Amino acid sequence: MMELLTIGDSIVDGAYEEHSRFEQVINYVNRDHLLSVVTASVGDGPVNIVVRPLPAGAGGVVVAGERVTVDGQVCEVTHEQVYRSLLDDTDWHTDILQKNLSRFCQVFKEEAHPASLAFLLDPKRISAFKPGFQQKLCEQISAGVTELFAGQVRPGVQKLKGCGLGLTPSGDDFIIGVLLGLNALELGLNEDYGAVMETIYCLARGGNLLSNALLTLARNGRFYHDQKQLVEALFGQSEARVAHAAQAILGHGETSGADTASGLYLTLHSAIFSRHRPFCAGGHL
Amino acid sequence: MSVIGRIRQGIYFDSVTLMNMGRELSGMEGVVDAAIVMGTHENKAILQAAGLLIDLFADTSDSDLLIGVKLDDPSKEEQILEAVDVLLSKRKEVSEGDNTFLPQSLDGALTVLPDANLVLISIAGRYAAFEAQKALDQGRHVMMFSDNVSIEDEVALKIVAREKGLLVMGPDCGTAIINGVPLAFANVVRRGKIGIVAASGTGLQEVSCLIHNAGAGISQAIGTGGRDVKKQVGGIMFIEGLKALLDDAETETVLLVSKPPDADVLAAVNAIVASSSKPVVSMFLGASGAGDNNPQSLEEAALMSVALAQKKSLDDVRSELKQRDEVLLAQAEELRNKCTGKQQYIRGLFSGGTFCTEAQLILEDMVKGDMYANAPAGRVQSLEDAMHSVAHTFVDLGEDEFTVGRPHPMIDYTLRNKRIADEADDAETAVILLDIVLGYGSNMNLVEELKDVITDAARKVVVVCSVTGTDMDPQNRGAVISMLRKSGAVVLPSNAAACLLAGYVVSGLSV
Repeated sequence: MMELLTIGDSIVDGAYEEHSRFEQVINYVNRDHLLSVVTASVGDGPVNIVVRPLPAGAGGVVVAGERVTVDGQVCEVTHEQVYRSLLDDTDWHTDILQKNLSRFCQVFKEEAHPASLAFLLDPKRISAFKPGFQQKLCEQISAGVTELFAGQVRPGVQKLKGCGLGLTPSGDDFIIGVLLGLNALELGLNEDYGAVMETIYCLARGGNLLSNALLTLARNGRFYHDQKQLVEALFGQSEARVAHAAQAILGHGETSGADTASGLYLTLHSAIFSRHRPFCAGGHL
Repeated sequence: MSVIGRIRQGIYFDSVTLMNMGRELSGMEGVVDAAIVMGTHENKAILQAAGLLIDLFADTSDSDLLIGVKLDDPSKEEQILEAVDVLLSKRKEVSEGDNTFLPQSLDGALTVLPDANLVLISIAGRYAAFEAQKALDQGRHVMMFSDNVSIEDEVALKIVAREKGLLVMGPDCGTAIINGVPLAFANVVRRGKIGIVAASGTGLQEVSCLIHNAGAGISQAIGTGGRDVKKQVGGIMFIEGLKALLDDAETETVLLVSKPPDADVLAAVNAIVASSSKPVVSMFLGASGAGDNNPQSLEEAALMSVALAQKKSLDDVRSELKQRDEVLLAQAEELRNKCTGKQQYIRGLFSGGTFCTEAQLILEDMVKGDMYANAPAGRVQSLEDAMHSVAHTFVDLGEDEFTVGRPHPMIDYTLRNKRIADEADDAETAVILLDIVLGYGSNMNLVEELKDVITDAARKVVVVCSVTGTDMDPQNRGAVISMLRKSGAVVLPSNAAACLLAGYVVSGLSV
């Protein structure tokens, strides 16, 4: 018998149909809305329903208020089971963030999957990609990132969106990380990045339903557990916590976690070095 | 030069799978370049830049999977397209199957996970050393779950591994937690600053769970296999594991766990510990380790390592355990009222060998009367017939006489459940002492399988259980404890505490 452990706070009521299934995750969609039924090892997220065990059947999911039906099984959701995906208030200390970003970068270089966008932080990694299609892919992503952080938001995002392998292409995951980074900066710096977020969000939306749903969550400041943990660690006092949070996010999906984290990292990094204006000339290292 | 392609709809793969498939295609004879991507506008632009875009892809959408292959020999088109179809259908099976894709060889496994740096070997013992050697030759660490590997092979493998700077955990290594991943029989614990080296599987499980349940976490937990600390092997991997943790930046405190090692091994380990700049807690059941912390049980060792990691005083740990002792004494007094007639003995039925050893060592000075065990430790006598208890009896149900031709008692509860019922019916049994071990590999349905047998037994005798596990384990520690208590068992947080309570109960009985 399946047990519902937690449920995200951003799931829209409705009847969802199965979209794609992986070992630990089943994605369901309802028009533009996404929800994922996942195992505890995947963890909490704004649109995740964490269950044990994963349902075997191909039945859909119906969400109606506090009642969730997964694969024909009805679960009543209690207040304690709801995962809160917004960031808590955080303090900005440039020196701490700088030190933590440096620790994060170190773990990232050592442990990120070779097929991920870690080459953006560690150019040596580009040799892991084969000449031909894979190298062209890296070139396009590098060009997009350079343009974005040099203030050319439109061509930058257009080069990145939909670019890469996987269910949510790496370029989309990177942009999601950028949006999450901007949300964290807004909270830490008490500045308004609403306009640039909206621009990036509108440009990045395409024909990929999953990417669109994740972009919407990121634009709205909704964090998955490991993303939230990473941001909290980066703004916190413990370098060890940064390392653990980095390892956790690198384990998310195959390369998705690393691709999102690289967008988040470069956004925060850029903000430090460009006096809080992440997308201006000279902002990107 | 020609470019061919395929389009697939409604199937999804993760990026690493797609990259590996692309690589596999590119490596085929006659293939110059290949890509497998979702058909986004941007990906099509890259396909064009790489010379892989063909007219077939013109009307595809973001959710279509595109396969483009550039060939230097157009005559191979048919052959390559067939290979593409096979590759896709094979991967689809892996992706959509019931997670039971089983590679048939080490090489096969490495095509699925080419970046793996640790090979877990669980095959018949006579083949295990050969596969381990192959893994070492390829620069990969090894965990050998397999037993029945000769001691000569074990020594040879460990010497090679040491030279290469690799680990060989095992043979007969039942548990490890590496980079946060529980391997074989292991529990889900949080990551943290405490590193463990253990030549004892259930010992490692017990301390890692106690550390987690006390709010701390594990950096790495390295199992070595019980034979590693014996004279013939010389503690090669125990020492290498210890050195690795002393060098590991994420490890701030080290905890060593073993049954008594060979004297030379103990001396070598103690020498390293004595010169270590990191705090080390040594728990060698029945022997003394280096340092002045001197824990008396796995529980005390775990709590001491937590205190050291949290920069707290070890006196606090000792004082807490002393206070807990007083609670156990009071609890024992109440439980004793349940015992009548000839009820006077403890019957310990263990699925973990280390728990059985620890129980004997804790209780040998506590209880009156003779003690017997099928795997005796300390002054305990050998049990003539493991199937029948005499006086105080401690049975390790993981020993060969119980496991030949059947699963380990952590998985299959049939034999122990029958024995629980038998012991409960014995007029001389006062306390049944049990270890319930959760985690990956262990029985997933234990609540259902234990409920009735514990309920029946608890009506007749005192049933004392320890639960080794965490709330993150698939069985959920809280749920198991709740079931055991509802069934009438007394549940304690560690094997040591359970043994103490059992000892206090019977030592106060006047029969």
